[in-house]
Amino acid sequence: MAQPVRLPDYHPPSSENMLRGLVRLGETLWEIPISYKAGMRVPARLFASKGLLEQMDAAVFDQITNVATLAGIVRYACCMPDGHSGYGFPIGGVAAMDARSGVISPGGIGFDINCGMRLVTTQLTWDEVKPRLRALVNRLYERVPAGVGCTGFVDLSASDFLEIAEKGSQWCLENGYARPEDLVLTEDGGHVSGADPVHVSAEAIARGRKQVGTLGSGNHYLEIQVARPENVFDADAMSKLGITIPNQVVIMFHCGSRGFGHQVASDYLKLFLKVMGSKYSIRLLDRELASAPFESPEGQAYFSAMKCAINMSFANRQIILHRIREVFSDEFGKSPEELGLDMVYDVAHNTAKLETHLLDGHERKLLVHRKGATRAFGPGMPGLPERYRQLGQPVIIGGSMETGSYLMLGSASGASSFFSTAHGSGRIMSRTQAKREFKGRQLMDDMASRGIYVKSASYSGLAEEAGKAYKNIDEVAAVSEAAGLSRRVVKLVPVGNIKG
Amino acid sequence: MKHYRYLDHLSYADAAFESEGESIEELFQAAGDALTNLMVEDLGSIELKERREVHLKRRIGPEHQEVMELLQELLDKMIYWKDVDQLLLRVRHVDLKYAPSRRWVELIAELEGDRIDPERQRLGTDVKAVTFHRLKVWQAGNSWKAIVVVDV
Repeated sequence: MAQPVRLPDYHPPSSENMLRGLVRLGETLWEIPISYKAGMRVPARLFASKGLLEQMDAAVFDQITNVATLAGIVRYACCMPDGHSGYGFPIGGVAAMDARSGVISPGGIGFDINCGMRLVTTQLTWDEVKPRLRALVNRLYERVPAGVGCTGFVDLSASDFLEIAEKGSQWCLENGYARPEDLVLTEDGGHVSGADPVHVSAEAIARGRKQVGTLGSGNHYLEIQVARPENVFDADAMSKLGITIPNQVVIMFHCGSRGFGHQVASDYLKLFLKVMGSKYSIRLLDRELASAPFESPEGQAYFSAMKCAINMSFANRQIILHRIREVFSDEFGKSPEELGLDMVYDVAHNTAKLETHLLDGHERKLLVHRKGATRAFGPGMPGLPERYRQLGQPVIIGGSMETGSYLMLGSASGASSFFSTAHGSGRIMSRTQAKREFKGRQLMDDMASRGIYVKSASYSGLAEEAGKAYKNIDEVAAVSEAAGLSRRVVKLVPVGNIKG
Repeated sequence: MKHYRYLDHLSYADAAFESEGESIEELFQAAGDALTNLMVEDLGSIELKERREVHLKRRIGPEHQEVMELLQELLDKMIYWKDVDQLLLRVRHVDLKYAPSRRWVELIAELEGDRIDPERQRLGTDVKAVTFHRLKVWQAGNSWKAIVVVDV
């Protein structure tokens, strides 16, 4: 006796059929018209080469067109070149909602609120670091907890944690874990206002309290990388960003708001599911797009709770930077200042933010959801630190642990995507498939033979992150540039990696 | 015997599994194991030393909606204790009590498990949340089945 439940079986359109429904608007721009699906309010636009588009799984097209049905969405639902399927929004989804008539959706931000990337320079060359690489990676692995259930600051009190949720990196500055310029070089100064912990559940606080200063697992990592001369695209911009010597060593890491943000998202997803139909008459094609009007009490409460998670995540990355400074300082017997352990920038790639954009010649206040997409403000835009005002916003795109990552810059032409660009490589293989095809230990040995020393809390977790499970990062970066979303400065290749 | 399998194509970013059992209790046990098995490679390396209990109440809805919601919430609680007490848990017993009016159902679940210990356990990938994406519970013949997508 088969009993169907709430949803019918899922049969996504095949990629092939989907490609036929796409309208090609340019070399790297595709549109799915509103006639594609009932309820679409705006078209969907995908920024991708034909090659990248063919690598996207069909659920991406289904999900980005679902996003186009959300109330208040303006212009079009965007998918970045590294797009791949998630839940609700695809990863790489960008949607701007009118701040007065639109909705806010946790599914457009992701469970890992303010997951992001931070890039830090050293004044060391690869030749200087090479003999100490293993020691450095091993020390970092000790000092920056990674993996399932890892805990950081054990003695952080509940009231300290609430202060972190309110103040973000500002708390770190007040407590000796940051320098003033670290905050200046963090998106939003490492602190968003309007974060009121009264909107956060006790469960969320309990989950996050022990996790400040931890990496987590999955695709989160901490890498030692080298800026090789042959990988430089714009030497002038690179030197303005602090990378000035050939084969300079830099440190990049990727993590978010840990269990705190995950719980905030879970709590509000459930709340929105409860009220959206009964109270706000919102009907959706996917439960993971659960939404509330942005101006409703529930929408505003989530916005404030999400800001707490944004702040916690900035503080998390700031504490990790502090640990990195300690480790390098111990290993080299010099101060972090002498070693030049300075911030390049810190970007968020899972957020919703109120921003002003030009729409048909008029300034409009929009709530821009970016899920697995990086804000990429062009030169001269407000919100950039003085140092980068003329240059544009630094964009940090994390590649797979085998292939490398990119430092890019926002450009004026980014207006077409609400000044958003890619955030990483984008998966082309599910985690289950990757675990079948690759073995963690083998991968670790292979990488070692190619000069990349990896330390991981999990072999199976490592297999899930194999380079071949991802799109080609070089193509993602090149297409992001060709599409006018951001421009390449330098590709950074890994030599040491810590994985959760 | 394992009563769950991981699915390939529901979401590239996340992990998905299908679990089954002859009763709701078995279904929940299988789904719990599928969840925990993402975070630790060998369920046998979890000693049943610590105990947690879950009490939930849900309004009965059409098409086993309450079972789906209870399963989602139970798995969510397991993730909660993983972060708060660093516990890897397995579902030991599930008791469902339907109100005489058949309007409400109460769940009491007993979970047992062990502190995370990288020295003793080969760990997998941390699970962040249980999503509602394609979440589904249904009856097929004599068995109960569920599909769950979790964010990792």
